Amino acid sequence: MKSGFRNAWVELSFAAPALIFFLIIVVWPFVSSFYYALTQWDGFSKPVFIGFDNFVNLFKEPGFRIALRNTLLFALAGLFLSNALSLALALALNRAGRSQTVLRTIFYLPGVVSFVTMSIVWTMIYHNDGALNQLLRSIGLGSAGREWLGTYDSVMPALIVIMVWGGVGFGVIVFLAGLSSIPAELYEAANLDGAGPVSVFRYITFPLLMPSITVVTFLGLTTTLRMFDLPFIMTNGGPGDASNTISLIIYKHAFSYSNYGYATAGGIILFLFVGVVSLLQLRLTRSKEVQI
Amino acid sequence: MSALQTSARAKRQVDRVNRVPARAAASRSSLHVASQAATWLMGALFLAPFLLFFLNTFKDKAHIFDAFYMPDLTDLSNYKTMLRNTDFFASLSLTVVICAVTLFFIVLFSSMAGYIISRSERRWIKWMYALFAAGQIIPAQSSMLPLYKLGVATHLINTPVFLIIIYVAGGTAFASLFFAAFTRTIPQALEESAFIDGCGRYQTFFRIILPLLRPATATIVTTTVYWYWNDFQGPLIYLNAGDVAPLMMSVYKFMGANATVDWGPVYALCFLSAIPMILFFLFTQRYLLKGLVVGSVKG
Repeated sequence: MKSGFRNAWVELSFAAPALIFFLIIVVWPFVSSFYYALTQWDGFSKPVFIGFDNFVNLFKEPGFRIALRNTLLFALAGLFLSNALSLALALALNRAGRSQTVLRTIFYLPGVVSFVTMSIVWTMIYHNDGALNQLLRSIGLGSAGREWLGTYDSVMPALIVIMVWGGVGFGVIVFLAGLSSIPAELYEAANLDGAGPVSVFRYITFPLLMPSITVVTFLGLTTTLRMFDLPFIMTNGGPGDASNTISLIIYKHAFSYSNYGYATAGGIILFLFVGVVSLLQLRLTRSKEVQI
Repeated sequence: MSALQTSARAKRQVDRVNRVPARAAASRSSLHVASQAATWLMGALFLAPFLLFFLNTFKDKAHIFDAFYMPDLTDLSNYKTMLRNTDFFASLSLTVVICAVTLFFIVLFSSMAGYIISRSERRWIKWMYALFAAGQIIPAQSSMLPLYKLGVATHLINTPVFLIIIYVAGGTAFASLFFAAFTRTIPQALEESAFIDGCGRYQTFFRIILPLLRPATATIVTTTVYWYWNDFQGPLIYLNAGDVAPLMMSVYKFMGANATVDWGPVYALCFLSAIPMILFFLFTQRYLLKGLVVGSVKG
């Protein structure tokens, strides 16, 4: 085609709106946060350069280490519990015929309500007089009941259950799509060779589902590692620091204590954390992907 | 291969299939029944919180914690109390406007950017594509404070405009990647003939390409509207002091003001704020499913 159609300025004008917004609102604040992370800054006066003190102090703060551990715990629970449940449900639904449509909708439904809604619904379930304890009492296990969100060793599992409830449906849908794209001839051939269900899963289903697993784990990890809304609304990180996350610590330092430089340093650590974990995950699952 | 050989092979295969004992087949089908039952049970467990959610909006103070209490579904007093004490309709309109404006600009900007990404060989455009992809892993907290400072400096902080700008910037990058992948499937011959007929690049895009992008637009809208409707962190940081709060923020504030006293109206507000997205999902899930599937195959 003629040069008029391939004019560089015309092409730039197509990209410009997206690019300008992205540079000003996403890239610039992110890049400049590397500077603010090295300063003492309260948001009003001029930032004072203090080197890596913020980072050193962050790692010395006991609460931060607990938050790091909790964040990792959310990610691991998402990785193993959510994915395993999604996969199991997708495998069961794959042969379910018409009921597949209904169940798929049900499993995805928690994914369309907000964390605020989830928090309000589950706060009542976990309440001392709430549904869970009532249920336990009615089946004679009342002694196992407790204030689920107010007890050190039950608060994280309680939040993880909500996270799984909200996130499983996405995995189910992606895995179902992945399953339906596996050619039926492969299963027929395996059947003729007398392969049992376990080896069919191990040598056919699982390897061919790997691209779907890559997508689901990547999106799962980037979401769970940023976990903020659920602990913020339901427990504010408590009791103590028992359900604190990195995102929550960052928020508190910024808006409760006006430690802007310190909070920004936390943001950098969170970014590195998310970046490293998701790159590792992509390399690992991508290397396991196979082509038919 | 002769017909004889083929039929001999087929016979061997049939024999091998027949060798599978009938009992194994029976246990496989009972396994199937068991897995179906387990899946339905799981489905019921997933739905139970929604049932509780709905019923709680009708419960009075004395019974709000009682999960097994069946309230009077004609008693709308929680809803009435809620409507008296909140700006529900103002919050609803604000949320609708935020979502609509955000999605309009995301679709416009990212269909343009995606078009040029898929059609141009220039190196800086490849770089832009990589930049948009890399931007997806930046957590909101990492750039939160410089962005907050930008909002203060421009006096846009605590205005819906600032929130929309933030949504558009982030959403456009994501959607551009999607539109680029979709535009690649549209043959270039269409544009070439349009050019020969004397169409400029803008005309070609808006008259020929944009209408063909309708399925991609439907996908973007039906998969991402939830992010903006349900977002809590954005308003918490950037729109915390406006006259009217977006729905999720207003639920949060109403809960803070009310929860220890009276949960019923909080549930009523929360339910009315969640129901539009639930209905939207039920009616548009076909597009959403298609979009998630395409997105996941493309990686």
